[in-house]
Amino acid sequence: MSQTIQESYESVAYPSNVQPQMHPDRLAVLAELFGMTPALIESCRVLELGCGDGSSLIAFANTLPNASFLGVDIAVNHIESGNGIIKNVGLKNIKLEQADVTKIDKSFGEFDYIIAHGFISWIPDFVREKVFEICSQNLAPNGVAYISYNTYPGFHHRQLVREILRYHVREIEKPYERAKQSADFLKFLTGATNKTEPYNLTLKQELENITDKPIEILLHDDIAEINQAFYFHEFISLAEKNNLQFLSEADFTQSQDYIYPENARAFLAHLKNESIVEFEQYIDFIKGRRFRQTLVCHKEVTLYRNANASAMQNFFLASSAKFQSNKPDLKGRRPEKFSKQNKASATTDNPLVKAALFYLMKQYPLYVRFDELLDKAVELSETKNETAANDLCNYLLEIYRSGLLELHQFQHPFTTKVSNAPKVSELVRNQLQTTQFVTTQRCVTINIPDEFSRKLLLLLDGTRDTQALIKGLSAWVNSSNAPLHEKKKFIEQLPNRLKVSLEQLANLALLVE
Amino acid sequence: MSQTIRESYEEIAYPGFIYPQAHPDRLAVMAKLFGLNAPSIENCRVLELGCGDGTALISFAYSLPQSQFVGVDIAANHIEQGNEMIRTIGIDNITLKQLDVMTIDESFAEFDYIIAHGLISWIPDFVREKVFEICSKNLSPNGVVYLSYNTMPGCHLRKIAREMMLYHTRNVTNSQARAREGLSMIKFFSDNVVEPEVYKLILQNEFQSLSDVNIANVVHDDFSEINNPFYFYELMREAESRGLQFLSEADYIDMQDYYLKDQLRAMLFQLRNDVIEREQYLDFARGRRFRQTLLCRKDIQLNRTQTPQLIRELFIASAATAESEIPDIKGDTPERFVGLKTEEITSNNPLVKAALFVLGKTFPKSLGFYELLDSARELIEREDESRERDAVELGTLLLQIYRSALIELHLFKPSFTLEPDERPFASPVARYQVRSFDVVSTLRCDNCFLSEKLTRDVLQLLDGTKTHDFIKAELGISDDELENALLELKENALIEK
Repeated sequence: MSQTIQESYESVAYPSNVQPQMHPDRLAVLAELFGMTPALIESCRVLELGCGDGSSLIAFANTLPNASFLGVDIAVNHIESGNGIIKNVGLKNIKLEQADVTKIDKSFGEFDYIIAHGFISWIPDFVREKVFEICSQNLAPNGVAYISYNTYPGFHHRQLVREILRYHVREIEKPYERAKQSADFLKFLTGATNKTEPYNLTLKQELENITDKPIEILLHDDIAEINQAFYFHEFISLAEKNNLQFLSEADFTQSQDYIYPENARAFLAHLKNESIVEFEQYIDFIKGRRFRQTLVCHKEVTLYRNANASAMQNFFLASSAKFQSNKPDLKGRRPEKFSKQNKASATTDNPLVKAALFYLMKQYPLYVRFDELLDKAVELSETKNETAANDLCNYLLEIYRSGLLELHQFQHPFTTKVSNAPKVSELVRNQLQTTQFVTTQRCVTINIPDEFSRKLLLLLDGTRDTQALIKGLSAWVNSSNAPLHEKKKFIEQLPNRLKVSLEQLANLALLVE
Repeated sequence: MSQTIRESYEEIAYPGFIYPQAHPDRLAVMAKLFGLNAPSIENCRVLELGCGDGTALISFAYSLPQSQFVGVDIAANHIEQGNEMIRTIGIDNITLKQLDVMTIDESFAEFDYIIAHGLISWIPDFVREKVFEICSKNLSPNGVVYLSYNTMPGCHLRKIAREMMLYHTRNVTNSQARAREGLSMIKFFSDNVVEPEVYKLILQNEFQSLSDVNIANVVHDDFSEINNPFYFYELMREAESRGLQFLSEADYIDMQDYYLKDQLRAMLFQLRNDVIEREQYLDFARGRRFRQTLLCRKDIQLNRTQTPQLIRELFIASAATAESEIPDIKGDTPERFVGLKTEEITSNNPLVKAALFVLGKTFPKSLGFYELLDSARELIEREDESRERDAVELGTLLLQIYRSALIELHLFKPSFTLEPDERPFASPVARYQVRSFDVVSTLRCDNCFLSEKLTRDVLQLLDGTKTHDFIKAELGISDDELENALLELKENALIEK
């Protein structure tokens, strides 16, 4: 692969966030929903192309100890840093290799899940073709491949800004300086053209998009040497050339049309009957989509395009939504609204659904198996109906479309009970050696900005009870430079603070059995 | 050149409009302002590449009878139509040829002005390279080139709509039907997009600009197989590699920054010594999507600071009218003058007010600098001894006003009259056009839309042999009706004698 790409990634590492939407759990749920029989994730084989420092793959491996993971990347420093973490954490089911993907062939073996995140838009054409070839050749018959990429028409906005910025910094060599000058210039230009023309609003939107993001993203994504976008139909042509077909988007909510006016939905529904690829393409046109995370599978696989609601019965379910009302009416037909913070919302008057949601919310962050959920929903709503199971499946699928429900193939390995000697994963304690970003057992990256919590997490190795934890934390407080009376006060409040913090950590899915 | 391009143009004729900004007069005025003494337009040689049916070039040729014009285009039917028009109006200083620009070489001779309007964004790379080669090899030493093209960054927004329409209509074979279906698709989507807001706005905007133009334009511009926008700096690199340099934009207003925010103007000011860089950043600031760039030979020493003295050698015209009914010209009350479109200026300077007032009354006729000076001074009753001082001031002020496009500058004095004979003679070019079209070229070489059928009918009859009475009888119209029609034609510079 191109020397410059390798060099660029070696001089400035890409900020690593875990991408939960490409966890084998998610891929298997969607595969099953569309009629496939995906490999059991507990014992699957996963390959990641362009794995970077392996953040995501390591997090996944940490949650699926009997599955095996292989990651490849061109950048030596990324692979070395990932392997350092793997060694320290003691993970045995994952391997990261520095390799050029163009060297991968059939002998590399077969994988149930192949993932390539933020990869194909940033590599030359011949490497991209190879990625599709691998996703076909090295994919098990019931395997699923995840490929994310920049897409048109929405990418035009980003490209417009990218080209301006690349021109502006064309003579600057130092990567960080390039990124800084780019960001500054975009800010300047946006501020200096404060009009409401589409052009000016485009600049404003792009500025908002890069603000709050690490500057490395600007460098590796926006002003990278290569940043190629594809129309969905172009992507599918590439996939079809390699005997692959469209399965789904990794984010199911992205392919929904319920927010659009009636006639637009009718138009889209008509397309969906004709061809799923057309439907997805026009969804992009109407959304102005700029990024996709597409799942593909072998062409020979027969799929149910309309999502198989009865697959719900095989899943674990969860919901972090909340009812608007403090006391939702679970037995009657009063409409109740439920929503996720500043995100989707929905309303239902169906007692069975209200009761099911109520139970899921109560259990959150733990997941609930369908059978248990059905029993509880029937019990809480006092519904007597022979079709209850079927009804619930259908309703839950609708709720899943709106993003208010999670579906899983397994219970991510965390506990909400604070034991006598609480424990966090080796991975978290290892991450805290160098950063304040940790990966939860639900495979989400979170920021732990306060030092107290970080200190506490480091002590949670499963050998310390409350006494020992208080002792450890007191020692930390005493070693600080704070005035004596403040230290004293802090130590007095420690038992209470510890209790609250441990509960919070449990709710964040950071505690393990 | 590609067979498909040729066929696409033969299938649907591109409507003949004139582009006054490519007239040798404009090119020579801009050259003068930027320190290049371009060949006299009264006696020059003009080449147009991709001339279509030649409407613009024929109008130019009619306006400059001593100059020689050659137009080439790949589409045979366009050239036939143009030649039919030339035969009918009876001029012999223009030749239109059906040929592939790839076959043009040095033996094609040298031209003082080379025009390529709406060409280089719509042709394959190798043809564009050839166009640059022609602009270099077939240009006389002090010659001027005009190139218009789609430009980035603004065209990204246009591409959103274009690519969507192309995909949506990919199986439609009839090109007009294709354009119509594409348009209604954009309309449908702009109505139904929910978010993001800016995306909805873009589609609405694109739909608006697509529906504002003739469907044939949509077919050829947006549905063409090729539609390549360029960054200004990219094209200027290409020009430079051919021994050419940036002269100016065809529209002076396009180079101005007075309407931008202070901080942007400060940045552009810092780039003042690198004209390419300044223009590029001006495009970034404006999100420009279309350019009309003039080039000349690289070895020419240009002077990019316009001196007011230059104005004294030019004719000045303006359609400006004062907004107030009885403007205070002599005093120092600020008065707002507006042009035909959005041009405007507010001034309390009696000399400026008087000059604009005089120009407005004279329009569409132009005035020489000293004529204008003296009429304006007379209006405000200036003392005789201050004439030279006023001349300096007026020159400076006019140059400033030119930046806002409220006044026109010309080297050429068009041959139209505001006092026609008993047997009026109207432009034969316009008389030919009006047979089948409601937009005609005026003798000032701009487009004029004649909305009234009656006016169009009158225009057709004005061949210099028919009296008012004859026309009234022929068309069965009243005195007033003829009077009004003649007034409209006169004021639009369509009557020659």
